[in-house]
Amino acid sequence: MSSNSPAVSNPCPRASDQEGWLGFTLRSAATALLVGGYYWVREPLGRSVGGWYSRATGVTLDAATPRIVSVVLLLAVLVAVWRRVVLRDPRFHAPLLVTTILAVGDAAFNILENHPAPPWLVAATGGVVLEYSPTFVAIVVTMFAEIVLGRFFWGKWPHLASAYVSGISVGILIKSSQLWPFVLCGLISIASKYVLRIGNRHLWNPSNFGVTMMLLLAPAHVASLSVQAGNNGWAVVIIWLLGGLIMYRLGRFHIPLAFTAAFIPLAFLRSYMTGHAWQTEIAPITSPMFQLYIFFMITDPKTTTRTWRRQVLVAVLVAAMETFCRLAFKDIHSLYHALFVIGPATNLIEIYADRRAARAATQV
Amino acid sequence: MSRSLKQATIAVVFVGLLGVAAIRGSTGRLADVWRRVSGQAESRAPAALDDAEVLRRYGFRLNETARDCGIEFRHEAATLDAKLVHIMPLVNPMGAAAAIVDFDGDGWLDMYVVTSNEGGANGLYRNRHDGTFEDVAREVGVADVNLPGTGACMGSIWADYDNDGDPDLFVYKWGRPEMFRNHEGKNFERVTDRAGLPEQTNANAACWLDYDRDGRLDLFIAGYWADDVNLWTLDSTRMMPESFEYAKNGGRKYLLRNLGDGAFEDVTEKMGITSTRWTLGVAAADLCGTGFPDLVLANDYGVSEFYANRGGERFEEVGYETGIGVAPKSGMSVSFGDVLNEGKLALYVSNITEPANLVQGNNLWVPAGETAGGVPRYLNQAGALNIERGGWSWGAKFGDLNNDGRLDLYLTNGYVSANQAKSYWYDYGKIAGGLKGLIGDAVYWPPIGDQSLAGYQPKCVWLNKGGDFIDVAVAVGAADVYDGRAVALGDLFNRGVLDVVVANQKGPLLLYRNTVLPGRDWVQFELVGGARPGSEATWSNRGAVGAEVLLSWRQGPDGPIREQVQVVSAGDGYASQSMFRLHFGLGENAVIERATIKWPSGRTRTLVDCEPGVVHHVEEADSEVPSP
Repeated sequence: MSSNSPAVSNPCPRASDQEGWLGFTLRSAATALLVGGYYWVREPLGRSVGGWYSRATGVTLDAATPRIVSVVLLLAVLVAVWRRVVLRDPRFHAPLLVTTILAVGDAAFNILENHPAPPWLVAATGGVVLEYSPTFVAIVVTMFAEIVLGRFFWGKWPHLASAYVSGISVGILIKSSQLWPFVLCGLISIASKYVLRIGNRHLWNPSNFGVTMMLLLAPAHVASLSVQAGNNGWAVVIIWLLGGLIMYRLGRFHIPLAFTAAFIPLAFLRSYMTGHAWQTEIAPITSPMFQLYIFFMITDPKTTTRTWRRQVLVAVLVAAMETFCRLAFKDIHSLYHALFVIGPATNLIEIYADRRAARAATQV
Repeated sequence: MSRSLKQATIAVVFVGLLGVAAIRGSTGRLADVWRRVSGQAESRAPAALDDAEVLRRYGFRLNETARDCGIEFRHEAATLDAKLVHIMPLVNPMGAAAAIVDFDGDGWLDMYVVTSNEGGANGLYRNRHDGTFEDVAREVGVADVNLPGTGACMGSIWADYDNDGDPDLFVYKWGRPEMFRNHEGKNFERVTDRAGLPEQTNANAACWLDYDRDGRLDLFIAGYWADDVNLWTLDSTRMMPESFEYAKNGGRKYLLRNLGDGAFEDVTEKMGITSTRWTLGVAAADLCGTGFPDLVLANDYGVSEFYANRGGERFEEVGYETGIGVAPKSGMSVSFGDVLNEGKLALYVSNITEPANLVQGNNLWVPAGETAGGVPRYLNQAGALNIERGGWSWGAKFGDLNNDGRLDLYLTNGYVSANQAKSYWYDYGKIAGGLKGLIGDAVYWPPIGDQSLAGYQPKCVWLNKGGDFIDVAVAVGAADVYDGRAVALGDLFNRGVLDVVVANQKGPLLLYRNTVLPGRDWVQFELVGGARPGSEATWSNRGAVGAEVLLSWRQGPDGPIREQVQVVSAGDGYASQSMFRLHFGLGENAVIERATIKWPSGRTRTLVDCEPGVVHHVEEADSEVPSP
């Protein structure tokens, strides 16, 4: 996944220069206070609210409800704090959306799946820090890698929205009980942007490349996200509503729509060929992982083809390749592999075609 | 520097990162390279060692001797409704269970094992004191518990619920549970109807506990499938879990209070136990330090649950607060053990690990203080201690297999072993992420055919080295690859060592006879509570279920003090029960400082004159009455 900002002519994503350092510092400080305060009070507050609700109504409140309400409130306040920066820069819209999904998903289903802190960290913090989030580590790693490599490669400070989303993607899509797969996946994802490129375009979606590599090289330690968010329809509806809205505003809603429109008839084809119920073949697309994939990975503007028609065609090709991987190899990671193959292939074809067209135009 | 040169520079780093991922991610020779480079200890022992070397290195060796001991028991699975035929191995993969108990009071441990096929006979293997066993189940009346129309056995737990001095038998089933009263080990009387048990459960776990400390053992039964599902005549195929990780449409739980007259009262709701998760493992012990036993539930398709006992008056589910109920996994069993020799019980919950497909990892929940709400806080240290990856894990039990003074861990695993060349994982993945209406309906589950799912898995025998564990399974002789389910430990031949019994799904019962390096000391405690029929109040149940022994000893007169706590349990792990006797390995030249016994009644007793190499028979009557 990567930031869904509109394609820009400048190949180096630049940091916003309209946000003054003072404003940035103040907002960052306010953010740190709010997030720190949230983590400080959320458990006792949740217990108090739950107890109060039980006493008032005689009904036991689901433990996740206060967490969801409080995280939504936190997000609303944070958006208010950062509104001047976030709302007027479309590059922040996709990160904002995926952050919302992540935060609410964690409040409802604990999708961040914290790791236990190593004994040295527990000892160093006097037992205050007992666990940590590998997703947060992945975000820090990808943003740090982007800063270092971007500065080195472009000579400018890069815009970090893309790296931020890559970090979240790595954190969500990689499943491992160890930390190193998150760190390596983050580093490989970001480095791939600077290595596997032709001209001003990188060929692979960074997190698709990173996750695929980790699944290939370290299968004993890594799995990919398969199920989360409780097999609930409402989670799918929310992602479609929010994701659809943002993709529509970014002019890219046709990509998830084309993928879905292709996936469904292909599911019937698979059903015909495997003899399994069509509902069974449709089932994968109802999982939240699929929604994240079709809204945030295959729509990545940096690694998709440039025109509307080509983007639709590529989405359909990815769906077709996905079905091929399923039927030919019973491929559990067919989603990643399909984009891994089709994405750079179509990018290369487009780059080659564009260069030929440019040469022809020059000769004319 | 030109941009091409910069790109080349980053490319070098990039290739290096891929190389590190390949080496770090390898499980073969590259992994050995990494381990040497990083200075890590071996996580798995070499397989090709002769017996003497195995004994020298690891201090024990296991020999599978079931047949030599006269045991030829094989578990058979239940055959459920024909509507489930396309996924039968996925829906009937349970039922192999084992319990080690001295049912006839002769001082030698016997075994009760169950099968699940209609009409299949359970086995009660009486110890003949000569290294062999004989099946007396039919003779004493506990063989025919799979009668047509009554459901399939899933496991058994034993305890002296009537305080008459001999352990009685409860068999939990998918169907009608059964209770048998033991008459001095000579025969058993079926007392199911008088006991007032539920007519129908779909239970895969149960344990005895005295939750209100009235001196009478109560019964906890944990359902797996929803109770209204009759697996032989399905009304609907919408009986599968509604979610792979957040399912709450499983079986209800039963907390049955022992009324003392042979009957039990259902107090589940009154006591605040509301779970309808898919429970596969349950264990009870006083984890909160209140004197009352708490309950831990290992749930498939969801988070584990921790029911804190509030003074015997109600239970409160605090799994999230304790840390064990945060990340949803596929809980298969739960066991307690003082693995760090700190005088505190850690919780081991087995889950699923299948490379590239599902890397949940097993959990070792180590106590890490208390929460603001006053319940224990746990941290998962399974990864740090190398006991995280056990395949599709099932039963796991702590026990000091080499008598070195540290608790080791025996884990069995494997789900469906069919055609080795075919795997169901892909098909499983298709339905696992689907919406509730899809995953919850068996019709939409892809047929499994002759495919395997996490089959033929090597077992794990993790040896506790003090700082971490090493898997010595193959080296010490536990080399089977059956679809293991239950693990039970007991000193079957009265030699001061723990032998291992493993019940395998659709497979033979295994008895691993243990040989320990000579010179290793041990001590065992057989506790007898003071309750007797008609005078239970203020006493502990006669079987002393829930009693704790905290042992302090030294190796040599000047060695540092070592401590370990153990609890008498009646049902834990997966569908299993180890011997009531508590076995402590002590290492060489052991000098026992003291053994402090904390009885469920609150009484305590400290023994200071314990000799190693002896089974100490301790009666509660001589203990100190707790101060008010």
